Amino acid sequence: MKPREIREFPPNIPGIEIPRARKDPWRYTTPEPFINEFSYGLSNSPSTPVSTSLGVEIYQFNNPECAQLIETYVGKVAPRGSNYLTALNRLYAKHGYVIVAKSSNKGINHVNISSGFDCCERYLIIIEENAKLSIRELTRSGNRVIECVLQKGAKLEHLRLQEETLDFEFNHTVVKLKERSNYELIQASRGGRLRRNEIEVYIAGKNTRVNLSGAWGLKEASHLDNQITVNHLVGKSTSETCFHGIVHDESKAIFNGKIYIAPGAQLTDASLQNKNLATSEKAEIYTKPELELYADDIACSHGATSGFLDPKQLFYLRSRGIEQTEAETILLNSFLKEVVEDEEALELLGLPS
Amino acid sequence: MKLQEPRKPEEVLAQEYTAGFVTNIETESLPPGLSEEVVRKISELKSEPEWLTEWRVDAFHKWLEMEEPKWAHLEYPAIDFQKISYFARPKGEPPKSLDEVDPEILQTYEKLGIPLHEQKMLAGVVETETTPVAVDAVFDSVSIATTFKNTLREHGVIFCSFSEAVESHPDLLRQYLGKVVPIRDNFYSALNSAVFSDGSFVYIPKGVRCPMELSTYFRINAANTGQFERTLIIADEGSHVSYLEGCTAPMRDENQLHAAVVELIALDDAEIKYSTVQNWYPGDEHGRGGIYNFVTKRGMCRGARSHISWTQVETGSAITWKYPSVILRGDHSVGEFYSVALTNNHQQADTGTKMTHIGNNTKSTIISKGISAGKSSNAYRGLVRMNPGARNARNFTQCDSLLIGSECAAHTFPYIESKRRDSIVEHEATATRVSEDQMFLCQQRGIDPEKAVSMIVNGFCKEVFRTLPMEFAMEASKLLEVSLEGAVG
Repeated sequence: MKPREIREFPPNIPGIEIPRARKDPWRYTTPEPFINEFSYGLSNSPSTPVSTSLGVEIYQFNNPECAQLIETYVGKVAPRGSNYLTALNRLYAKHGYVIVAKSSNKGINHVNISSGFDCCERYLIIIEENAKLSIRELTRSGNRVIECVLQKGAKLEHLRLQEETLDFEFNHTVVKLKERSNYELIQASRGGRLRRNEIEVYIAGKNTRVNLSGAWGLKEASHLDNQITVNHLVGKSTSETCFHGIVHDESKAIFNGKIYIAPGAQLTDASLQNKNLATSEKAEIYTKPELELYADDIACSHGATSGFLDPKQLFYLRSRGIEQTEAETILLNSFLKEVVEDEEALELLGLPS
Repeated sequence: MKLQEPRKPEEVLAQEYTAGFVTNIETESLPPGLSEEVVRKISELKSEPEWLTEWRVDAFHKWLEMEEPKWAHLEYPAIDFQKISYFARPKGEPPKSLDEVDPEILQTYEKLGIPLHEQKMLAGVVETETTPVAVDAVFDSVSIATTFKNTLREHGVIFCSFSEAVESHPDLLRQYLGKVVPIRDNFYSALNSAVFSDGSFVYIPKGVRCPMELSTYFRINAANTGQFERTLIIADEGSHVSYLEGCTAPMRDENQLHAAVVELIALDDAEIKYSTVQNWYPGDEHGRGGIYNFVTKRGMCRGARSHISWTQVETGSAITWKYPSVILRGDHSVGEFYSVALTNNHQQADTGTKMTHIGNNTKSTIISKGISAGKSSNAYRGLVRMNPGARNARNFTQCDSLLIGSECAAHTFPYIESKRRDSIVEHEATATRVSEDQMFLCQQRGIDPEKAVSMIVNGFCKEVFRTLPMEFAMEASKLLEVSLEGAVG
């Protein structure tokens, strides 16, 4: 993809406002560093997708073979949003990959995406009818937009591992599901100087299932912002979102989860949960589980908590001869393990599996 | 025998608004428009002291610089603030006692079921077995009468109209006015500070438990006017007061603005219980007319172990924008918010609360029940903030939505901000509908659909109604029945 010529920065993008701090959806994270301190003009090392599976095809964006797919899908998976950082990505992305999981392979296809540095890049992932894909994504920094389309009966298992970083990272993942498809996300995050994950799921077919789960353990002055929206555009679908997080030291965790149920999307079953633990006086937790419902025949619930380790549980362990620090570790670990079971994810979070 | 087809909840809800009549009395009002002169004129009409006039003018200038809030989940055409008349009162000399009040007005309150005759009530003419309630009746921009003033005075309780308080208790007013809701707090509080007309003032002295319920009844009557009242309640150390607020307005095709400010201050060990049954005209089934209810209510638990509790039943208004909040500053102070908000037809509500925990061991509870029917939209918006100093602070929030009909909408926007390690915040919410199974079960037992829905809805709201004073709870549950009429199936 050819970068367009840069005339002014930050550029004026018609119809999209430059985000401002302290206003939703940037209430608790300052957007400026993502715009001003991020080197959009420079080309840094991109991440690289690798696959040995038979049913996977990987193209670079400039490959003429995938021109048709790019034309059809890029920037169109989500209804045109007003996300300024995503728009910036569109203007400045230097690298782009198209990953297609073919229905020809009946087994599970695997793709490994290893992290790049400070790169502005884009992915388009298409999972054909009844195909299965498992992605292991390692992220470190940069501005990355991933668009996924799950055709009928497709399945996507998405493991996202976010390493500790001193850089800025902005991830925007948009997933669109057609009938009978299934999306599963497991996200394990360590802190970043400023890390923001925006995950948007659009359920456009019946009998679909979405499971989003994640855990984080933040240390020192790291900052993690998760913005998750599950849009039930049609009925008869199920979504479950569950995120647990621990904030240590002076770290800051932001979680904004939203369930949207469109008019007429009856028989939807949706739940959203976010639990937080703080272990230090200076840690901060901001959570907002939202519901926006326009249909009545639904089962919808959400919950959020913020608190500290239960002294009773600690006492129980201490009374059995377990030392204070160890007892704390046991409880903190089990808190994260409630949502994340994947071994690699546990390893990243520093938990014994 | 032919079996009756089970009906859907939405078929049973067609709104009948019983308080929608107009009282035909001559009104004198200021011409529509807002400027510094108008603000000064209002102050002059009410013969206010200079400090208050200047306070208003200052507020007006601050208001000019402010922008209308747009973040609420509400849709309504822009309000032309120059088309509203900011002051209206019944013509003639202000009445000095209840006997001088225009009989038409008295009749109005009678029709609304608000007893203004102390003697009658005491003599048992008005059928009531419960303790009497002292009422301050506010009609358009002025307070018409305040009952039981003498009885209350014996206990040292001050309960009077705001205008009277300006004359007789200026020191208290100057000490507390605008301290909980500062002028600049928001667009509507600034507007209210500039043009507020009347309202109630309550002061409960140290250690006094107010002998009866205090109540203010707000009535908008004149057309093209807005109502901008201000209520200030101060509960001194160790005192206790329960305060009720009711409101209605005639049915009109145009929208009318109601922008009130309520400030509560609880000192050490004091308790204030503030209950509202809001039944402003909600507009007709096509969404024409109705009141825009943009209200700022906030309580300050200033003293240790103080307690403020808000209970609201919101059934009226075309648009509700209201967030009764508590600032928990005193150690061990408690804030509570219980709310039932019902929207039907084209009504829109964006309501909730803010609990700001500053002191140690502060506790807050939020129970919010939203019911949406017809084509209405009902949003809960709440903020729970644990400040770094709030050791052992605790919050529990539950907000449930009940949807009746497939065209209505329910939203929840709870903000949780925790900056304190040993604080606990819990939030839970569910959304369901009146299910066919529940309706079937009731109808199968011979309960007609209307009753069944109101039973289910009442059950849904039980936790909130339990916190209302008795008479109010009955009124509220009756009000829900009326508002839900025609929505069921």
